[in-house]
Formats: sequence, C-alpha cells, structure tokens
Amino acid sequence: MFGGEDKLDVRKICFKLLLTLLTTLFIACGRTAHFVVPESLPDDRVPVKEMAERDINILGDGFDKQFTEQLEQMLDLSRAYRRISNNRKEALNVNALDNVENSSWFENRIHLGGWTEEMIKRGPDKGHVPDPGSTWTIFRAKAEGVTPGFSIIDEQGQRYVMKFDPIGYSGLSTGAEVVGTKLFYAAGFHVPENYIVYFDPKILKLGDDVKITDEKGRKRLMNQDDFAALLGRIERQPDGTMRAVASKYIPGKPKGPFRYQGTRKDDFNDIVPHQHRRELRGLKYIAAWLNHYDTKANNSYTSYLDEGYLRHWLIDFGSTLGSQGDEPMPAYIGHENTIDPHAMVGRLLTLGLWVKPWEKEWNVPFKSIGHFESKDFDPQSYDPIIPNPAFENATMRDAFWAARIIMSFSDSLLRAAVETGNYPEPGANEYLTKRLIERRDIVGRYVFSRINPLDGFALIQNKKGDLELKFRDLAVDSGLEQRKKSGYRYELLSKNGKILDSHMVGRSLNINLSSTYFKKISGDDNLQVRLQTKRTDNLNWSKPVAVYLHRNEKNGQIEILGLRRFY
Amino acid sequence: MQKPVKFKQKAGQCPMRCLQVFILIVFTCTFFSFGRLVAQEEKKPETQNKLLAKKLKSKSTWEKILDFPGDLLMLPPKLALETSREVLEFVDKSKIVPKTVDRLTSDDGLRGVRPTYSTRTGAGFYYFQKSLWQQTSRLKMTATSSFNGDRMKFEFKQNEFSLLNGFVRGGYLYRYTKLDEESIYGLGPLAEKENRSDYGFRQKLTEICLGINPITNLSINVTGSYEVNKVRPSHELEHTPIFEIYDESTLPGVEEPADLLTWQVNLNFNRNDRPGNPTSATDFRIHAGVFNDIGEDHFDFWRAGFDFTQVVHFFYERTLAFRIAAETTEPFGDKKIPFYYLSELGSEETIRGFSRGRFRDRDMFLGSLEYRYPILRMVDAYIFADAGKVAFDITKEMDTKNLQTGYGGGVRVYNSGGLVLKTEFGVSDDGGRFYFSLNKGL
Repeated sequence: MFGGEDKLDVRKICFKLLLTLLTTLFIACGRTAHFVVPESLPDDRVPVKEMAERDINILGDGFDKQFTEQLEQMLDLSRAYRRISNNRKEALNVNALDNVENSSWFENRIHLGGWTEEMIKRGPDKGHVPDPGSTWTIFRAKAEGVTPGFSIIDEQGQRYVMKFDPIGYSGLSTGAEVVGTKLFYAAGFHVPENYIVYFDPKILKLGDDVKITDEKGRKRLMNQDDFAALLGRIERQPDGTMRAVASKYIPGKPKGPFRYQGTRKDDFNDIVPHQHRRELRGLKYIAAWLNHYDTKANNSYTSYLDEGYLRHWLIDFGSTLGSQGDEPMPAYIGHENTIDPHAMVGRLLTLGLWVKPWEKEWNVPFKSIGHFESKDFDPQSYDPIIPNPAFENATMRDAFWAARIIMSFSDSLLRAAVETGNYPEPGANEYLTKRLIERRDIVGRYVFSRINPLDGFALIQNKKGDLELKFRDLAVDSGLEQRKKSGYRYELLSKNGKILDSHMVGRSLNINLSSTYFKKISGDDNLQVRLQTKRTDNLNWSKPVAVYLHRNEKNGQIEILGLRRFY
Repeated sequence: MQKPVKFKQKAGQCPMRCLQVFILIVFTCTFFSFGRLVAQEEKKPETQNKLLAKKLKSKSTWEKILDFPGDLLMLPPKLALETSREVLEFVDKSKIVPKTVDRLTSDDGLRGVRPTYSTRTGAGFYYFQKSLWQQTSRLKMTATSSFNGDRMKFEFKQNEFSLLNGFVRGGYLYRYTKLDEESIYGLGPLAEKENRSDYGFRQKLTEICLGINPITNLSINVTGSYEVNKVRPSHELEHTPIFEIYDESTLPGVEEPADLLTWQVNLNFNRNDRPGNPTSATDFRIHAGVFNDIGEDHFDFWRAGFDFTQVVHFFYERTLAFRIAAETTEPFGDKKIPFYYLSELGSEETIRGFSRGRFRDRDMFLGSLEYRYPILRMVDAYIFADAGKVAFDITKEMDTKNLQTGYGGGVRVYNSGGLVLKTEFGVSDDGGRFYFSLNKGL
C-alpha cells in the first residue's frame, strides 16, 4: 500500500489536486467581464446605539502599520495575485457611477461645481469666533511637548482648543491649520471650525482644577507659575498680542479616533472596511497634494452626534503644507515613512552615496510657510508618516476620484483659501498659492494621463430629438490639455462584449445615440459605449471608460446604468 | 494462530501525511466558508434595507482560501509582533519610564538614582546629588559590574565646585576599579595574538582637580592624584596566566605594585555646531603628566599626548570625521614604566577590531577616518578605517612598517541633546569585534 510506486502516484494526485485548487482560486479572484451594478449601501447616518469612547495608542498603532501589517502584506497571496494581474480590489462603497454617496465620512462638495471664493473662505465655519474682547477661561492645558497649548471657554460658553506657532515661525503652524481646514472641507471631509485669532494674553484666566502633566509624567494642578511659564513659550506679535488657532470643540460626544483599516465593531452603521472606503483611499492623493503626511489614526476623530450616529472627522492640519507643527517640514516628508525599512536598508547598502533629489531641494523661503515645494513631488509615491492601509489599497479609480476633486480647485479658489491663513510675511500668500497650483496640476497630469479623464456623462435630447450622450473632458476643463489637441472615439459593445460598431467623434463631446443598436436595447440587455481619448502629442489612445446604457422598463427611456474606468 | 498484521511507517511518509493534512484543512475551511457564504446569501434580502446591515468583508471567501498558507506562515511572527506591540503599548500607556524616573528622583529633583553602562566595567547604577555644600556642585556615586563580577567599578565623585568667584572649578574623586579579564599579548608592534596571557588588575585612585575656562569652549585642568595599582592572577583559565610567562624583569609592574603620585595637565577645546550629529565640530585634547612612585620607587615616568578630532561636512548631511592621536611615555633615568601605563592600541577608542591592550609600547600614533551618512531621522550609519602603530621610539619608526589597521561600520542613534547610543563592528587581522556604547563621543 505504501510502496514506492504507489507513493509516487499519491504525490502526483495531491499535486494535481493542489494545482486544480489554486487554478480555481486564481480564476475566482479574476476580473468579471460583465458590468455588475454595485449594491447600494444603506445610509450610515441613521440612529444607532451609543458606543463607548475608545483610544488608539500612537506607538502601538504605528508599530502595527510599520511592521505587522507590512509583513502580512508580504504573505498576502491574493493581494499579490491581484497586483500581478492588474486586478486590484476596488473600493466597496462606490455607486454605479463610481462615486461615493454622502455619508458620515464624506459629503460631495466642490466637485459638484458652483463654489465661490466666499464659500471656500467660509469653509466649515459657522461664525463662532471667540471674542478677544471678553475673558477666556483656561480649563485644560498641555504643558509638555514642543509647542504649548490649552483649551478655553469663552463668555458664550463655547469651548476651543488653542494652538500656537513655534517661536520664530509666526504663521507656520496656525496658517497651515486654517488653510488645510478650508481645503479639506471643500474637498468633502468633515473638519472642525478653526479660526485665526489675535488676542491680548491679559484676557486669559486660569480656571480652577486645571491639571497638567509635568515632565516627570505626574498630573498636578496648574499654578500661576506654570501658567506664566506656558505663556512664556508662546511668541508675541510686535503689538504684544498672541496669534493662535482657536479650534472649536467638535459637536457631539467624543468617541476617539478611527482606524484606516477594518470596521468599528460597536458602530453598526460602519459596514465598509475602512481600507476599502473610496474617500479614505482617495485621501491619499488629496493628502499628498496638501502635504498632509501625518495621517495616522490619532489625527482623526469620531463624535456621536445628537442625531444618534457617529460622524468621522479629520483633525489637526497644523502639520500640513510647509509646516511640521514645531518646525518647517523636513526634506524627507512625503518621500519616506518616518521609519522606512526599505529606505533605511537601501541607504545602508549604498553607503548614502545616492543622494535623493529631495535631499537637495530643502529650502524655506518664508518662515511662515516652511518647506513646501512642487519640484520632485510625486503623488503616487507619496509616503505618509506611517504606512496607511487605505492609501496602500488605493487604485487608479480612487486616484481619479481624488483628482477630480483636486482639479475642481481653481486658481482663484486656492488663492482665497490661502488668504484665510493670514500669513504675516509679504509674498507668502503668492508663494503658497503658486505651489498649491503646481502640485494640483502635477496630480491632475499624473492621474489623467493614466486613466481616461472623461466624466460628467449625461443623456440629453438634441434639437432633432435624438438622444445624445454628453460628457466632459476634465483634463481640458482644468486647463491641463487643449481642446484643439484632443480627440475622442468610441466603440459599441454588446452585453457579451462583442464589438458592434466603432466611431470617431473628433473633438465633439457628444455621441449621437440614434443608432439602431440603441433602439434594440430591451429587457436585461445593455449596451456598452467605450470611449477613448487621444491627444495630438501622444501616439496612443487612452484606456477606455465604458458607459453602460439600458432601457428603463417602466418608462421605456434609455438610461445610464453605470460606468467603469479601465486603467 | 495468525499473527496480527503490523503497519509500519516508512521513510518519506511524513511529508505526505503533512500534505494530506494540509489539503484536509483547506477543504474543511472551504466547506465551512461556503456554508457561511450560503447563509449570508440567504439572509441578504432580510438585512438589505435593515438598519443594522451586515458588515462587508474585506476579503472574499476565495481570497481567504488563497491566503490561508500565508496566514499559517504568518502565525509565529505575528504572535511575536503582537507581543512586542502589547509591550510597547504597556510601556507607553503605563508611563512606566517617566514614572520610574520620577520614583528614582527626589521631589526637588536634586537627588536621584539612574542606571548606567560602560563597555569596560559593565552595568550598574549611580546616585547623584546636586547642590551639596555648594549651589553648582554635583555629587555622583557609581557602582557598576559585569555580569560575572569580573569587572567592577565603584566611584565617588564631586565636581563643579566654584572657587574664586567662579573663575576656578574644582572637584575630587575616589575610585576603585577591579578588572579581572585584562589581557597582554607582549610588548611592541610585533605582539602576536597567540601570545595572549591574562591578568587581573586592581586600582585605587584618589584625585583632586582644578580647572578654568579662559575662553568659550576651552578648558584647562590640573589634576593631582594618588594611585595604587596592582596586578593579580586572572579568573580567566583559557589563556596562560601572566605570571607563568613574565616576571618583573621582563614586564615591569607585573609583580611590584605601583603606588603613584601623579600630576597632570589637560587642555580641552570642544566646538560643536549640532550635538548628536555635528556637521562641523572640533575636539582637541592635550595632556601631559608626571608619575612618581612613592612606594618602592621603581616607577618614575612622564606621559604626554594629544587627540584631535575634526568633523567636516562632506555633502548633503554626510560628514567625515578625522582623528589623529599620539602619545609618548618615557621613564625618568633608569626607572621603569608599569606595563599597564604604556601607550596602547586596541578597543573602540583606538583601533576597532583589536581587543583592548592588543599592542603596547612606549609610543603610540593613531589615525582614523569615519564617513557618516543618515539612514533615518536621528539615525546615522558610518564606515570607518583606523590605523595606528606602537613603537619604542616613534620618531625613529615613522613609516608604515608594522602599521596595524582596522575597518568596519556601525550605526549611531542621536537626539538633539547628543549621541544616545552607538553600535559598531570592527574588523582587523585578529578577526571581528562588536562594540556597544552609550552617550559617548562626538
């Protein structure tokens, strides 16, 4: 029974079994040919039972992201297979048009259009600026750390966290905090109200029972000497006032930060694994644009609102743009994780002789801006402080989603947002605006050159009464490409993927749907319009974007079923 | 009667069994996963529009099956990493480090106990007391020992006394050192590795020091001390005991204890643009001293030398550190020099890759070049080459003959306050040696 010949046969059988199993698995993990309309997800802003507040340890979280999860990824065969076969897992919370619905995480804002300079300047603000003419009572203080900070309650009973610039860098951290707030809000994220305030320190009053943690880690009551020492570490303006960001307390009950991976077990609205949420994956590119490198869990926040659900916030933008909070942004930021084993081993072995381009470019032209450059900026390889699971899962579709938002910020809107930073140095506004525009265009060029930038698909009836598929070219609309240098073509494909017809559209942004093929659509049948784009300075046609059309059985009208972007 | 048939396992059967078990596990998991999947599908219409919708899985069943072997492989390292993470979180959450430091420090912060480590004398603790007798003074009592107790140091030191309205600083020191693992390979540049013999060494030292700072970064100190030195048998049994090879005539100091009264002058110039990882720094030391035997009067000698280190910026945060040092030790008249006071090469302070005291003679010359480059924030790597020579009279042997060399690399961790730790590996003709040090050097 266990003779040599038999043993060989068993091995063969087992090998074949394994091979069959693996082949089946690989096929099962493959891309589906048909368009499947994604299931609509329930609204996550419905009342659920209140959950307990939780805390995420910064060190533990960083260790997990930097080591445990990196090792897990190395042994993640399905992920490796998906990468090799260019079939990466797409975001799970997108609708048929590859967009995300408004949720407790995100609201569609600037890319819907119609944004004015006033709107961007207002951002999330509701006008609750603390009055510098009244008394501000300190009820919480942070004595340790590089930059001091405390929380106040004003005479109206509103509570604020006060944040300050590092000494010698007036405007650096506070400017970044406010400009970042406006831009992230316009992009669609939930952010706190942050106001730049100038106040006379005499209006500050130390409250009772204010505790501080001293250098030795001991908690004790803050006394007047501590208070004076704390104020002594804050830079004064020439007129004796202090400049700060007053960050209004976020509404609702605090429930701790959110993770960029998994779901929160005690939040029954939270059903999509965070690493597969489109808005968190797409945040990679928005964060890269704004140099928001510190996207660890602890710079996020969740609050349980009176409406009975958990809202997810992005907070702490003092370490964005050219500021690292306590100093200008170091050169490596965005190019490497703070502890980057790959970079470390690479440098160790090359004896540091390979000088990265970004090592040569570090400069601080304005102290209030810090180090914020567009040269050598690469949105795809942008590295945050620690590896971010959502960013690592981002695909080109997520990138397109983010780029569409980023490219919605016109020059004038960016200029308006920068003005809210109230930078004290002449020329700083222009410098920062210019860098933001340059970085925005770098993101746009990168993404739109890899994925077809046609968007805004809509069905309209022309003057003759024929149905037309209308679209926009985002690369042209945003000024990255010229209309006269752009051309389009499309193919009609049946539900089974058979090519029925193909047409050159030229420079027109409309496709006439009067073809007999469209008239024949019925029942479960659908028709695929695959559009491609070509620029005169590029020999190749872009990857297609497929628009799926079907006939609504109820009213007999042709409708857009959904779309898929190929890359 | 028929005997029962015994089935024996044959060679090569074990891997097959493992494979079978593996396939069984895979299929069992698949079966149960499918079961769950079917159950989910069945429940879907009910939960679709319900408030509490089913949480989406980040991986499909097929992906989970495909990942199963990787998950199995990942189990042991994941367990180790999870444990490390838990420890890290505990240390951070419990604030055990600042709390321990706090417990080891008096409320006014003037007194406390701290751990310490030295390559030569091992790990231990020191007690400090600031402002004892005088506002600026600092008392420090140190006790360190190696794991096996062969190396020990006890030190009582009080310094930073302010005299003459702060123009002069003063201090005193008492130290007892026990080193039972010392080695000697012979005298001169041709000492062979195979000629190693071991000995124990005891030293009692009492010292008084006065110093001034005439200009910024420059200090001049005058030190007077009384030392009692004695060589003893080593606990090390692997090599020949020193007394079996040498006697007082062949190796002065091996039998006779040396009770020395010494007077030394030290001049130190230290400039540093960035503590921890300077891009421009100078460290220059000159020392000269006279050693008089007040016991049997066998040993009278003088010693002088210099040690110069210059750090220069090379390119983009890469730096070069040059070091040149020389020392000469000469007897007065026909008196002798105890062998443990001869100039020596070997260890992390001279030629890395050689053990301490590998080469000894009256004169010593040393050159070193170190190239440092950043690999992470606050972590530098470096490679180095050391070369040096001992000679009876270095002025007559200014050539590369018998030049000893070592090379290697290391990693240094620093913060804004200075160098935190350094770990390096040096290679020489004797092989490789690993070094670790804390808070030491430029």
